[in-house]
Amino acid sequence: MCDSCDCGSHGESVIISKPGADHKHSPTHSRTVQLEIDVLAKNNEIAARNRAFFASKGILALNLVSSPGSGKTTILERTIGDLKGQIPLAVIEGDQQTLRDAERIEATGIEVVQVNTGTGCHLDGEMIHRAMHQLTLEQDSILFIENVGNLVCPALFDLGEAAKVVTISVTEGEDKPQKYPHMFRAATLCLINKIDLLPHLDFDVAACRGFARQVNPELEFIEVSATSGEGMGQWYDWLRTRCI
Amino acid sequence: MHEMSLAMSIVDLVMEQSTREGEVDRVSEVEVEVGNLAGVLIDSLEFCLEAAARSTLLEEANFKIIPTMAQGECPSCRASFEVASLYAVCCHCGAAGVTISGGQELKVRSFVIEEK
Repeated sequence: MCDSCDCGSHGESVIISKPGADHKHSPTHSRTVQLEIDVLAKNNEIAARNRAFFASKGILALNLVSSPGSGKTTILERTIGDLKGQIPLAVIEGDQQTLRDAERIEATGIEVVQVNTGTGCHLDGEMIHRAMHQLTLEQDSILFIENVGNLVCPALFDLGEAAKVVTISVTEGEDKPQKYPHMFRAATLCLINKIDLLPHLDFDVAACRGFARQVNPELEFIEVSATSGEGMGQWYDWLRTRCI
Repeated sequence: MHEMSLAMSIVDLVMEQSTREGEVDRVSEVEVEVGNLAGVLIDSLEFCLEAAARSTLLEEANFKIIPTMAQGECPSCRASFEVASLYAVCCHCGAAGVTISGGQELKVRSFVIEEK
């Protein structure tokens, strides 16, 4: 019996509900499924396949990371100009939008593919896998993967590279390694770029190295200027050693 | 904002696994372990999970985020303690160069399915 108006109806026989309000599910029973799977497992699996492919062809794949404007593309242009003809080179460019960087690399005469991530903030293993299919990757070559300019997200996503090379320019703060420790921990080499500007700035190179070494005692450093060419020879030596 | 792609990976992972579990009506709970040094913002991840789960079996799932802490060991006094950053110093003797373990976890521990 309805306790509001004595109408004789029973609550259970009539269901009155508003759209969007809680709805009832048909009876089910619950079961817990244990998983213990890494969220990045799928990416890591694709990255491992990329890595195996690079190894089978003797390709040195490097993941170049930095904040925007540190000079990664200029370093690449200079590197290609100096090493072209000595070592086969190819480039995958990552940016949210535009073909600008790929066009700059194409002008140097080597093969390049641009990956536009749209709103994405990093490259991942699958993007590299797809980009690789667009390139003629030669035996014993170097593949430079220029990641999206971002010191946060690319630290998490393995692409199958042999090493991450992080670039910091002296026009940034020397405390960048403290602010973005994950990337400096994940990197093998740190290029300190634009050193031709050091006389005009108060960037403390030793402090920068010290901050980075605190999170990554094994991190190697090379000071370069992609504009003047200073220090670039040391970078090429590093590349040649890694190619063997 | 890599939390969105991580959230999508979590939803994809659970969807893929749940299809192996027979007649699943829906997923009512997902337990995700996130280390404090995994580079993931938990608030952001929760927000993104809600968006990523929309129109899937996980739409009404309760996402339980289990935070875990990295452990540090002092190279000097050998003390063990929880570590909150990659720039940890020993909280007992102040020494630097603390050896950090764990804290990088980012995994789906389990999920609960509602069977028809």
